[in-house]
Amino acid sequence: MGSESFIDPTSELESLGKPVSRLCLEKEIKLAEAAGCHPRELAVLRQRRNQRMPASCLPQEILYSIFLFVQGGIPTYALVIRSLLTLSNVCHLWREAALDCPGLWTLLEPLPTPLFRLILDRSRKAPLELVFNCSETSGQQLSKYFSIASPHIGRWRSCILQHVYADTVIVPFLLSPAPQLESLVLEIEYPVSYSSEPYLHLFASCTPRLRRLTLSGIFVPFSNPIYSNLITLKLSSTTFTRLQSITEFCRVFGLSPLLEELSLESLTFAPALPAPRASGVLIHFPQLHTLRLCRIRPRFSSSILSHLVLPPSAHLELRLETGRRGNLSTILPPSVYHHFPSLQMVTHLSAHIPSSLTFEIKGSTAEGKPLFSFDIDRYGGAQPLELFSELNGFPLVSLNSLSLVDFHENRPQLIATVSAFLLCHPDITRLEFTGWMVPKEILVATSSPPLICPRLQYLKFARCRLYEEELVEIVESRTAPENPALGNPGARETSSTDAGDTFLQYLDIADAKYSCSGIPPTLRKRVKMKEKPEWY
Amino acid sequence: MVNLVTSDNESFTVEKAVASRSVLIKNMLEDVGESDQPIPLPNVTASVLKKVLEYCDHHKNEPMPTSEDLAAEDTRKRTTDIGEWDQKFIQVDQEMLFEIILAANYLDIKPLLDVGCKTVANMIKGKTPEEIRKLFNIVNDFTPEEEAQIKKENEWAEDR
Repeated sequence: MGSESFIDPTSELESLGKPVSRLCLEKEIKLAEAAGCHPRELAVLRQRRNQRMPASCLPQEILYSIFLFVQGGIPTYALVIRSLLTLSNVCHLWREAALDCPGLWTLLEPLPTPLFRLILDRSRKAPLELVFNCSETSGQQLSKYFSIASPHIGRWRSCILQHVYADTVIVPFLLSPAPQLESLVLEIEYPVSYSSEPYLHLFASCTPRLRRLTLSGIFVPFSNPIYSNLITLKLSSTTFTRLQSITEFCRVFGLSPLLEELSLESLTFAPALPAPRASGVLIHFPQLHTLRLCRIRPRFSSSILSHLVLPPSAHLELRLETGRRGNLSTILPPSVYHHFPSLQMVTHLSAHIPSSLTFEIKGSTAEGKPLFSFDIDRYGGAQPLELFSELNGFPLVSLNSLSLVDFHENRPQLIATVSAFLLCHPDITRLEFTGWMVPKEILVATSSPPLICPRLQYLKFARCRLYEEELVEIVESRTAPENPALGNPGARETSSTDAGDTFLQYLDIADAKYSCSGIPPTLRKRVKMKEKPEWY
Repeated sequence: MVNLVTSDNESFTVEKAVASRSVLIKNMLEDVGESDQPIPLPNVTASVLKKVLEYCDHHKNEPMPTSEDLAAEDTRKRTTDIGEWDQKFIQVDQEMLFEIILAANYLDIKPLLDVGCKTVANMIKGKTPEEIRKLFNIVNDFTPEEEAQIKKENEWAEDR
């Protein structure tokens, strides 16, 4: 039997319909196998048989879509590669489809070199994504990978290089134009060059599509257009020794007026660098949603902040030290409050004193959208309570909710400071005290309407011990004997502003410890209570 | 109402909102304007169109995906999650599943195409080549050269 008979393209099988023609082909394959037919001819017969299966009727673009869904959510690169090889090892048709879809092969991470080359080849001309976490890759290996990938630098779409041990290994591969590059992360652990010279011509100053830039441990001179038209800029662990002023540093942000995220962390400037408080140079970021400043000396951070103007919805995140004899205004001088209109949008303020050395404060909208968060290490500067008292000067004009957590401070000073703050914010309707003794001195109303928090409606105590006497005193001073809102039939009508506006309505003590046998029934007629199911 | 005629000459009369889930039909209706002329669908059989219309009817009030939605899809973050109703809808035999995918592609109903592709992807995930072949009743049809190349690739992948 001649082998040609098995692969005759003029076969009339097509006219029999797919199931019948498949059965005929299967019979033909068995005959061919028994006859010891050449493997290539057998393969062709099997391909024709497979073509008659429903799974083979999908066009290539649909197979590509299925393959992309298979890839989605795979947690590690090793499994991504394993999955790609599996898909291309099923049958001839699927292999052709997978190999004809360069988009499947564009992610490059450390791999055995032949496989790395294979993936790169299969990506053809598609934009590449390089991800190298170099903590497990030696400088020699990294050089090898980049000597293979750098000739394709023109189609890099993103390049993420983290924990690079020394910049000398990598920089020589980053000197050609990268016209497709959209995202770049360069994190150098131990810069060897100690100079910005190697970076002067990074990507030959050609990164026109770059929008997300993260640089750590390196300084790319500001003359390089890499800083232009970004939407995300993160700079960290860098020393800027040749700058003339902080203004010069800030001007570079002005090259990206549509910036959405700016993060500056652990930046060091020459001690002699002039850092004027008041600056004539203002850089507006109408699109910015997050400004983050971490671990930058106060004189420089305040100077940076004095140059930047944020939109009302932006989140200002500061993790800074006050410095010796410093306070909150050392970091954020009142003269620049108007640069941060989000302060005026804050309706809920949360202040936390986790230790005598730190002070955390967060401001958000009623919906919980964060607007600012300050995490201040004082190290020789003002006490946390002094920092808190400085908030009196903040333009928190919309504040109606305050949460104070772990205020373990000298009591008379604490009472005076918190009272002073509350007196400045008479519109507060909601107060929460967590982790400190009940401040009866603040909460018991001595006049009608109360001097402190006259509109208080919601009061919460958590992680503290409650005593019946003080609880009764607080509630009775701020409520009528019977609250009409609780459906008490004999309750008197309240004055013009009504109970809903002027009297305490809710008392939440579910997370507090109660030191008596139970809640006095009279309190339940005055306020709606949220409490534990059983008392202890 | 819109009249659709399948490849096996069966006629379906459906609401315009249901038929318009298909971008192909929507464009045809816009091109021809108000007309009683039936729309021929030569690539779809009655049994498949019935299923497709069931999907379109269930989703008729949902917003159509915009070109921005499609452009914003990050191919690397695609999930294979399928809604509860869609999961039940797509519980069909393999032949029908592939027919629905082909019809969704032809009629340009992207959400249905995605449901079909995700279903196939979920069937494939975690399986070896041999298991996938068994699942779809296909056989190893590689040429000796392809077999040799595959062997090499697998050896490289093991060498990690």
